[in-house]
Amino acid sequence: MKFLILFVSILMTSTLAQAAKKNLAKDSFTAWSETPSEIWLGILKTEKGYEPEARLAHYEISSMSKKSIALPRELQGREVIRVFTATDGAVVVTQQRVEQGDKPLVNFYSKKTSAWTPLGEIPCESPLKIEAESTALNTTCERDALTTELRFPLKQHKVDVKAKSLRPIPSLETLELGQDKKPIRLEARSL
Amino acid sequence: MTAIAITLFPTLLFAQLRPGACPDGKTYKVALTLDDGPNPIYTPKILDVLKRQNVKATFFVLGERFESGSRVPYQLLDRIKAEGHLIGSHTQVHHAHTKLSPAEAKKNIERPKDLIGSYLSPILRLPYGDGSFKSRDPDKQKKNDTVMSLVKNAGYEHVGWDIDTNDWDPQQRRLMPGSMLKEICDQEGGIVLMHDIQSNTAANIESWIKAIRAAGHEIVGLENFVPRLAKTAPPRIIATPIHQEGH
Repeated sequence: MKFLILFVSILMTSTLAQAAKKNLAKDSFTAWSETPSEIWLGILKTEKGYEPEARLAHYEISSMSKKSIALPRELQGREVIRVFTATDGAVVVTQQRVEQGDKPLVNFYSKKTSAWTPLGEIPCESPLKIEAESTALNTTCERDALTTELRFPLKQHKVDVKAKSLRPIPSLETLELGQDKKPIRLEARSL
Repeated sequence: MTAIAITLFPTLLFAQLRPGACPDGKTYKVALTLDDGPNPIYTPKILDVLKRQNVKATFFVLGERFESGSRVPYQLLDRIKAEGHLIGSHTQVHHAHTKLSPAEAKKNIERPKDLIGSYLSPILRLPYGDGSFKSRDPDKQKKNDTVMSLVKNAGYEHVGWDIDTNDWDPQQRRLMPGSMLKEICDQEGGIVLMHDIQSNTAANIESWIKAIRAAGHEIVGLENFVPRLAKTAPPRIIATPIHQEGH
């Protein structure tokens, strides 16, 4: 009987391992910016054989209202690698990350108009880190084992430098939101 | 039932406990591919490792590397071929092809044949894989279909990948080789994607090869995953490699 129980448990372990394999779709958080009043999230859906699909999500913490925001057509196939809370919206950095990285594109998303405004590209295919100061993004870029510092002005847009921001490594799958630390699991399609 | 359990138990237990193997106890076949070269500094270093480790790989090269008039990139192709590796096209310039006009995409796909046609196996990998994936957006899918028919009409079979090492990404590659070994298990083996323009890859590929083998996996030629290559003649051998591996 002990053998039987052990056998069944091994079989179950193998079945679970199989379930995690190959073609199952996976959603993950790829970027995050949080202030006491709102949260911006970059989300990526991947499935083998399909183009990755990224989107942005916005939470108002007071009302817990949420909005799922599609990326504009010109950003299709790109991943949100950083998002920064800004006045009236978010500064969103995206990169093509399948097979090889390209130069990250910077856009501003307006909460008021729901419009995307391109701000330009960061000339670095392998950014080690991208951080915000009030009106610029500072990138540490790696090339041939050497690093350089790049500054990307955000024109008239102003980033909230007090916002907590993160590029998860590897991507987060759950987040705790707000004062009550309400967990959000992407698998539940809560966004 | 108990008899079956007693019979299968040792096998399953061994499979679970076998060091290095996948959680299901299995080991898999993988083929190594290297994109974006040839690079005058890193490709020779990687070729040295492949020779030392007796591994045959596939290099997807960019046509633009052969526009400078220098003999060096051609000499690298001679060496790649002489040492028994395969050479595929990575198109002329590393563009996202669905963002080009059909005429521009056609030109970018076809140009490498003018420059290095005699070296190329009939295989091509689109930069960023762009065009080769399915899209849920019908307009994008139409563009993907156009690009893929251009690839086919140019005489190529598109070769994607199963295991992306993310060796170009300074953050993700810190997770190597563990991330690659996990993917090999999750994908049940397949085609591994690396880049021979990365200093990090040149510095670490030997340890990655050793890690693959230590986990019990087998490194094989791409023809194991692309049947068309098995049917075509093997690459022309200019000089006899020291470590000739049968395919």
